[in-house]
Amino acid sequence: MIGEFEYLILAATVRLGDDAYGAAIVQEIESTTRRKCSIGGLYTTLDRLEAKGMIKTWMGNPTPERGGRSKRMVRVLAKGIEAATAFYDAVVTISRGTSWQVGQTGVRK
Amino acid sequence: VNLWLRFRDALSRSLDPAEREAVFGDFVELALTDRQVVKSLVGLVVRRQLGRWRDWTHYFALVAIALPVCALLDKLCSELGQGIWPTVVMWLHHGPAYDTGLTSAAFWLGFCFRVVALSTWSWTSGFALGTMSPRTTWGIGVGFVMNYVLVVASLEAFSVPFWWAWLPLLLNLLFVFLPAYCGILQSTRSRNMNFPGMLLMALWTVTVGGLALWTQVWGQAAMDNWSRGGPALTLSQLVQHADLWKAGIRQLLTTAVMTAPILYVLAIRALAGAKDEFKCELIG
Repeated sequence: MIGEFEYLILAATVRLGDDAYGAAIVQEIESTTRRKCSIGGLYTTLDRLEAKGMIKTWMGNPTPERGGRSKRMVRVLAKGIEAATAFYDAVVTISRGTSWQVGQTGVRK
Repeated sequence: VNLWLRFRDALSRSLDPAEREAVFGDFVELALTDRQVVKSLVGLVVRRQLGRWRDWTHYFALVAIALPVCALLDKLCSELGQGIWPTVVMWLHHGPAYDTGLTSAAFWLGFCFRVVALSTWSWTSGFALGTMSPRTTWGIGVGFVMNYVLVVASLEAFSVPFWWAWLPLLLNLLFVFLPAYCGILQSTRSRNMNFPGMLLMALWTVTVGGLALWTQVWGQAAMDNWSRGGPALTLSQLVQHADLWKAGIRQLLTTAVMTAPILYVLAIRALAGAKDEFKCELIG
């Protein structure tokens, strides 16, 4: 099963659609989760996901707002969708009925 | 001069060109400060380097090649340094041929062969390490220097007078570090050195190794002659009479170990070439 950060990247990539690339994914993750996302962590995780066959990356066209530099575009593949769905289902299933109040444990009936 | 920018540029050199472009574009778009850029780059470079060390061959290169080669290079360099200073002092006080039984021409020729051999071995070791583990070249380079510093430190170089301490260090710098650094740099520039070029390099390494070994035997021959009360042996006498086969096991082993890295790389390259030819034949 994939990890939490891998799931966040897959989810952000799917949300961004055709505009998914390094900086956009960082902004998407930071704005939705309010957590810092480092470029180093992102790029090494992208490599790992690509090696697992879950995403595809390629170099896009250079744009002026990036100082004429190219983007590393990202697209989620079927295997990535499958892995993200499995992770989401696992989190939803294990969270169902779980009490998150401090000092209280167990499952609400 | 902005130090952050310099550091950033130095770090970015270890990234692939395409990745460097994408990452720097992201930095511009995210409007990061120089400090944040360096912090992000350090994170990326460290992660990349650690990821590359998952392959066992890099550990093999470091432990089986770099460690013994560093220890031997340092030993050979120390011997070289120990040979120069006492000889010069002896010459100043007693004239040539007092100490070793060698004439000055024979001594300096032998010295030159050993310097050339040491520089060649350092260069080829750096080159071989860079070629064996191209993606971890600089990591291994740091390991190479660390090994070397540990070995030098263990010899208590600084507990002796000024010239004894600094002469070996100077020789290390000139004949070991500098050629090894050039070898590593060359390996990053010519990843696809052709087989004949590699073969020439291996032949040169074996030849200078043999010459260094041969001239080391001169010293023993001259000492034997001198201890029997004979005159200092001239260069032509040494060339005619010195027997390479008298070289001790230790000297032969040293030469073999120092020549091994480039021969290993040559063998790997030959094997890869044979595999490619076999594939071409299969496709054909």
